[in-house]
Amino acid sequence: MRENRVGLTTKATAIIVLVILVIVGVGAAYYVTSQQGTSPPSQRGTIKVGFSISETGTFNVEGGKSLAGIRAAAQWINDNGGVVVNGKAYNITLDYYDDASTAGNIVPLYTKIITQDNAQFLLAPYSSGLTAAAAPLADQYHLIMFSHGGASDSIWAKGYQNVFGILSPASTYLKTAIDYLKANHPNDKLAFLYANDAFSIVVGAAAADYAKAQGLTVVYNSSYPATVTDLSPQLTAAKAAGATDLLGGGHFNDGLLVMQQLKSVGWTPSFISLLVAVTEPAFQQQLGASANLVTGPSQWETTVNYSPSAASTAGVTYFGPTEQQFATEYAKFDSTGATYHSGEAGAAIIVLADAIETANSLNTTLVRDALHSLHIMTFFGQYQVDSTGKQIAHAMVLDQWQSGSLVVVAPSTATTGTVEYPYTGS
Amino acid sequence: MKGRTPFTLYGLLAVMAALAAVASFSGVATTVLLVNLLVFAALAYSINFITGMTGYVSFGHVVFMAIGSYSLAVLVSTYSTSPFEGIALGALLGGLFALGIGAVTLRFRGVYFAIASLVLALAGYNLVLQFPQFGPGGELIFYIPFQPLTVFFAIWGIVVAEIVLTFFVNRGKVGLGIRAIKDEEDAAAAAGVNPMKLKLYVYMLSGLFAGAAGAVFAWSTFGVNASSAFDLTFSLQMLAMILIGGMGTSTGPLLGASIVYLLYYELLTYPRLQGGQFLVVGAAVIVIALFVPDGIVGIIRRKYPSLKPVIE
Repeated sequence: MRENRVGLTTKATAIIVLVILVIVGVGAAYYVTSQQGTSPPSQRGTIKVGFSISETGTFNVEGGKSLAGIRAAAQWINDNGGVVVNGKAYNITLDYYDDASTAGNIVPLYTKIITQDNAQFLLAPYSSGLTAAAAPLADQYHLIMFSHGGASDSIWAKGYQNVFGILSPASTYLKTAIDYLKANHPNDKLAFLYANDAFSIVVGAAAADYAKAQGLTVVYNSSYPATVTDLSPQLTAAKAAGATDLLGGGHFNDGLLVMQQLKSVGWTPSFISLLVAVTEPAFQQQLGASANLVTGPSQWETTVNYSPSAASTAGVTYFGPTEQQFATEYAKFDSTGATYHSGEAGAAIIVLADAIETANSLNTTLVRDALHSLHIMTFFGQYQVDSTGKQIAHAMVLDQWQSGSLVVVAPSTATTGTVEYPYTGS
Repeated sequence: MKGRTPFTLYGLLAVMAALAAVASFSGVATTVLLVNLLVFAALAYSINFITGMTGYVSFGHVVFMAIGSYSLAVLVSTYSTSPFEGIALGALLGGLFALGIGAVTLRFRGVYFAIASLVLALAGYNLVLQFPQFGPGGELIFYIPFQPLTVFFAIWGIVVAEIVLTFFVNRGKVGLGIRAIKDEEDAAAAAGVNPMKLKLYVYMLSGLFAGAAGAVFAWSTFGVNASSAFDLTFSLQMLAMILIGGMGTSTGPLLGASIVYLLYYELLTYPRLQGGQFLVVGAAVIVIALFVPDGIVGIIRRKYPSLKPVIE
């Protein structure tokens, strides 16, 4: 019996030793591998930028594009000397989670990012609603947050101290189109017809007000349900009101519907500018010739001409990668090409890097002061904010389909072509 | 029945006391996580009153949550009131709307009630967009200080109230009548039960608590948006929680909400498992609906009969 017991104990001991050896071995191998992965050994510090992004859910497409833009911009910064503070270079590291496009996930994720992951700077999630859920935490924890996908003007009316906008606010989406009409066709009569979702209604209502303020004649102004399936009554009414131009829209499907039903009601406006839908390649693919000469606003296009020389002309400093450098870097993360979501998100990282270098500090207060005083140009366009953090220098670009190509026709600092007028319907 | 010691109630209140202690003494990230968990638990208890107890499947239950969310958002953003007034209004309007809606829709049975409730949610979404008081495009954003512990105790109080009510409704005369309705409504009516009155009573409770939970949800997300406020995914999650936990029981909603929400959150924060949340919950619902329709509480009660007094 005693011999047996000794035998069992020895066997058990051997197994325990073996298990410990295996664990230690696997751990050591993992450690060595993970060390090899961080090549080359760097003396640089790190700046942790935390955020949630919609990799799944309603905004998964926009979120995916934004994430690729953020990663490309961070990689470009890291590959080009990092962010230099007091002579020491820092790499940007990204700490992010999927928020599944759900407002309920934002506060738990940002609390984790701030209090457990110890992020030093924040990017907002995609969309205004999700940004609104995250913004109070930036102020509460005294961290800078960049809004790159929340265009709602109401974000900037809440008195946040640490929230800065990269993109043009919703109220300015159709401003470039109206400026063009004011300058070139001031006698046109305008119809505004837009979806009644949170984004489109702000865009449409603000644009109508801006057009009136510019002295243009607005003869029709109405909204429609975002799930609309028939817009012929509204289009007929706009035509009957004597409108020569049509501005508004909302999303892809209703943008298509507008174009299809213009034909059925027998109206060919001289100028058309629609939100969101126009900048999608599918718009032209599905409409064919009738998409020709239709315009639409965009935060950014890969073909825009923001460059060091454009910055010099505008009297501001250029910072970060050129358009081409960003596109090259971006291709490493997303082979399907950048959209304006990629551009605005990537620009947030570039502006952050410049602000940190300008402040020459990682201190939130100093970086915040720098962000208030900066007026620069990046590949995404100009950056300057008002006292609320709202973007005031970035201009929406106006795109127009011309013979199957999307051409940037305004503003003059970004154009790749000129506006062709009037729209002919084919 | 009346004389039985309420071990289940004691147990659930002990769990709630433990959660309060954890929220009070742990980091803010844990507190926020518990806020969300309890919002889901409150919603699960609310739908449990009508669907769990009577068997009337309320697919459009999110409409009451939205009523609560907008109540708080309008009061806080437009009238700068305290969020607690928003919760009170949300609960009141949730209960009143449930009474009004239920007076009509509870006359339908089975799939007809389910469809009617679904239509209500869609109608609510479109209705909100027509009134500028609910913000442009149904979006209201407000900024009040981030107070996770205050929000936690607000939703904690709501869930405690729901637990107590669920327990006593289940044990009381109302519970007997409701179980009779669930088994066979016409027979219950023939036996002297007033089905409409009882159904309206639990539907009102259901709307009231969903309204209160919706208000806390808006508080915790600093605003409300029409497309997310009327998102039918919430209704499906509520149904999944009571189905997994145990329909009509006092323990099931808290159990189901904990499992569904914690699983959801964990999968959300593991990059390789992103997007798998609903797949896992959906699979669990299918398995449970097929093999153990009385949920985890039912399994425990059948497998361990001695635990029956402890887990109701």
